[in-house]
Amino acid sequence: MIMPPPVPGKGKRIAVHLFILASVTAVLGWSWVGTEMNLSELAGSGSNLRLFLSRMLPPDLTWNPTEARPFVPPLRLAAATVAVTLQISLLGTFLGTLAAFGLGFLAAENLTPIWIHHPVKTMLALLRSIPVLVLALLFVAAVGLGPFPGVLAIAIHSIGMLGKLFAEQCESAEWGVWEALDSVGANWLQKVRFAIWPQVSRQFASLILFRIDMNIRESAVLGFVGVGGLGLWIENYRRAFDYRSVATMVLVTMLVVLAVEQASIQIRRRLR
Amino acid sequence: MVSIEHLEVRYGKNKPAALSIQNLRFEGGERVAVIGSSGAGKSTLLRCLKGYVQPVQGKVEILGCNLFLAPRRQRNRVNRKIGLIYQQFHLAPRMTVWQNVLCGRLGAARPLPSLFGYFSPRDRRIAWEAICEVGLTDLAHQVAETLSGGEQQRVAVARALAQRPSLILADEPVSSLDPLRAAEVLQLLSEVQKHHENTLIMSLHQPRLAKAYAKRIIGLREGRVVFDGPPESLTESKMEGIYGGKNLILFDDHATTGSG
Repeated sequence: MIMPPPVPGKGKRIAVHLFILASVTAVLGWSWVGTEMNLSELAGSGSNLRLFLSRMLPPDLTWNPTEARPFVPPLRLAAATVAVTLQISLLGTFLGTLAAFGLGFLAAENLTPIWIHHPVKTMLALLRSIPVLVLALLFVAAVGLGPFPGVLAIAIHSIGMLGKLFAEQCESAEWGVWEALDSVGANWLQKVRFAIWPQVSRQFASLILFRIDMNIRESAVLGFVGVGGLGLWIENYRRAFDYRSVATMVLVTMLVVLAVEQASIQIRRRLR
Repeated sequence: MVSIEHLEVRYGKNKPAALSIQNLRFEGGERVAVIGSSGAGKSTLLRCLKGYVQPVQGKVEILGCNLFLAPRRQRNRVNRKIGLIYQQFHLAPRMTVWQNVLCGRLGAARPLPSLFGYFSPRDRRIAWEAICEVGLTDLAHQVAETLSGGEQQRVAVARALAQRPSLILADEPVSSLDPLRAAEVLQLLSEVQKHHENTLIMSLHQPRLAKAYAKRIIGLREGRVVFDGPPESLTESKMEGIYGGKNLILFDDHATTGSG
């Protein structure tokens, strides 16, 4: 009987796997201790949670003001503010895309020399590293309350993310076409237009759609720092301890996010 | 037209020379096949002529322009006169045959309008002539990727023709095609070369095809020219010198009676 020869380096591979396992366990353990994870507290939290939920449920779904509550009902308010949240997200993504479009090509390692793509990449990373909430606080201070600072915050954050993802798409584009067009004497823009763009345009569209759907979630949260939209009203109702109205707002936010996500998934599927 | 002197190319400092050519000249209107086993330096030679490979030393002069020393502008001008055809076609993805062939005019077209797909009537006429020449008029508005391998290579030939090249370099143009398509593409390249009286240098894997379609054959071995002459003088012993092996079933003398 012929036995296969022993796999070379098998012992070493097992050692490497054990090492990875040990490191992951150590890091997770460190996090467990650091975050004061406590399962018994979680188990005993049921009554608190029930109390909170009982205040929230059922959501206030009245459409017309009543004698007892003569102001605009939350559902009607939500219907009006959904538009603002959508607008913040759409315009913010658009402005971000505009800037990221140019920067993405410049940040692609295969398209530009290192003294261009390196600084551009670093800049994109810096833009990404600032949390949207912090950006929003900054712009609220700069241009005042309202949806406008939200648009700016979303735009700046989107530049960082989209620019990086655009660059990655360009970097994975097939290179032969670029050289072929270089050999006909095309300049840089022409090569980008005819060798790279046809390869990445669909992915770009898909990334933009994905970004829109993430930005809707983001812009809903931005309300907490004074940017208009659904989040603003969640915060307002919470401060007034009107939890049933909070629930209404949260419900509408969830529905919008799910709807946009589904639409974006459907369109992206077509794009492929 | 093309003159190479004391050319030496190395990939890596301590590696042996990938290409080492003392003296090689190509005149205008020549149809040359470069043969040799894998790694003999065929591709390196062609890429060197396009300036894509930087030699350690030596001089390459094309159309009176020293390829590695001339100012950038002059190099670009010469670059545009050299068409390149690849084994893998390298057509612009998701674009039609027509758009791909127009790409051949990019070097000559006005940059800004070309980005939006606008080309001058002259550019469009030249591109259309190229499409007619390779016989793809019926498929002009099909997406190039959807065509067969042989047709795609025709598109690539048309794109190179749209450059109005003085020199066409074909780097294993038929290696990914079946024998019939291969013969068709080589036939096309030969006709095109004869018609435009430009210079065609192609690297081929099959000596049989080289003998059938080239007027001059250059045999490379380990980066050196070991054979340079007309197809008739490429005897079996010379073949052994190029490929370093006996009993080459590929070397089929009966198949050498192709077009001259």
